[in-house]
Amino acid sequence: MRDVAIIGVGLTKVDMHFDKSIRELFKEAVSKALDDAFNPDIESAYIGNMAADEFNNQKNISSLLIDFSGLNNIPSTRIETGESSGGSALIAGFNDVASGLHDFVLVGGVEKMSEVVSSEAESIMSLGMFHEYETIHGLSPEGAAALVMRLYMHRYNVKEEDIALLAQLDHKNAVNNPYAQLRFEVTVESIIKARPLADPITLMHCAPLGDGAAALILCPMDKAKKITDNPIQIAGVGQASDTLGLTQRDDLLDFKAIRLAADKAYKMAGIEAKDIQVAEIFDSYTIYGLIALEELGLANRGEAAAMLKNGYFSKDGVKPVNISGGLKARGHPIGATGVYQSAEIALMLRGDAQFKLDSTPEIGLAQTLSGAGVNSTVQILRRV
Amino acid sequence: MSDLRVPKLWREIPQHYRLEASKCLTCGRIYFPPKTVCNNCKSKNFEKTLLPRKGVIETFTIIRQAPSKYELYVPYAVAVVKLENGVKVLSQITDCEPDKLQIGMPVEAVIRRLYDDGENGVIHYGFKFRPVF
Repeated sequence: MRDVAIIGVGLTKVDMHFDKSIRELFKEAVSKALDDAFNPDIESAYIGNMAADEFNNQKNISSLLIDFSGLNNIPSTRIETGESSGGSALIAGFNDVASGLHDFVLVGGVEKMSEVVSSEAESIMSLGMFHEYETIHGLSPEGAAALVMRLYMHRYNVKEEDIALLAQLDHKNAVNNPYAQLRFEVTVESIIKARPLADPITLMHCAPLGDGAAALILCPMDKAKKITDNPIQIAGVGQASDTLGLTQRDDLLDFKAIRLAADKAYKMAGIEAKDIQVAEIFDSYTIYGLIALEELGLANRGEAAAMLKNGYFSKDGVKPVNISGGLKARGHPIGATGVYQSAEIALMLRGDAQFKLDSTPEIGLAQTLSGAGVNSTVQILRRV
Repeated sequence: MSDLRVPKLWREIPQHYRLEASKCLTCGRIYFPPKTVCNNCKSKNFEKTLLPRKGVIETFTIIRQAPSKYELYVPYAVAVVKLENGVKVLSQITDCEPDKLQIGMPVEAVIRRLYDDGENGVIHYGFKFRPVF
């Protein structure tokens, strides 16, 4: 297996881009990534996208997007694993380069959600749940998160306001991210007093709807070193799945998919959780972010909220988390989110001015999740 | 477009009306919805079994913003019910004020209308759970 490097990164601001089509949005990210990588000849592409069929009335989207990005006739494949599609697309691109099949590979992610009103978006997002046994009973995605959150609060004696600290941290970090959707700070009170969607979850525990596209250029490490002074190695990847239905698991709070994906990625990278210096975690709902911190081994079970409270995960803390603003404030253009996360970690490891930390980290982690612990990917990046 | 075509509902009637599950004859694990290969021991020897109708609420939520098909019914309660044999099912909780719900509350299964799928669609019935007093 060949070592794989990221040599180009392209991001668009997450926003309600009413003036741009999904084609234009995707092209913008691809062009930036290609320029960043000194415009190599791309040989294949993998694109994370969850629901262009429903949001944009468009299937066969991988060919359309690659054509409108000015890349002719290359193999282009859409990858869909629900909300974790972006992470899965990155792993597909990694496999392609690592196997030796192709040298220069584009990994993209895009979702354009602003074509529909929010109740339609709610229904589209519900398609990611088990239809005959969850959706049919009127469960919504935030309803599933609420079931998990109430049980978590009950079992570990954690208060809602402590879980809300993750949303507050996200918003604080997003202020400095030019690509973030919600660049303003919020109080814990405004989070817990926001409009209730599914008790105990309020609007402010949830990622917003938005449009965004992100792109990465991958190539073998030996070639990367001839092209750029700061290649970022994809040191480890892992993916795992779990039951689609929440109730088919022995324990609702056991997000085994994250743990198994992380174990594989740590093993491939030859590191342990303690070696991670910076992380982007998948907090589509605050509670999933807390559970991710625990399943990744960055916090003990039931203790993530307490560690948030003492500043451990803050920008100036021991292990900064969601420097980008996380899903809550950078935004969550579903199929693109996983690509954003790895792009942001790559920029942090490069010491890029837009994601500058006091000391430039060497090892970072990005983690995705679909549904309530259904599919997860973990990507570990390393500066070489 | 209707997402509830008649055959799709008809196939699931044993599960939605009378909580029919499957039991692995090799290791004894019970699956709801039914499976025909065991995730635990990989056996394909199964028999049908009915789930107990009583259990307790393991966790619950009150849905206040619903997917479009359910917008008319908000607020409503959805819970994970742990049945007497340990199997869990997701269900609405009915015949109870939402603010009376508690983790650990005993509940029992009843048949209720789940929803109407538009003017020309099917009326969908299925189980809900209600508190046992």
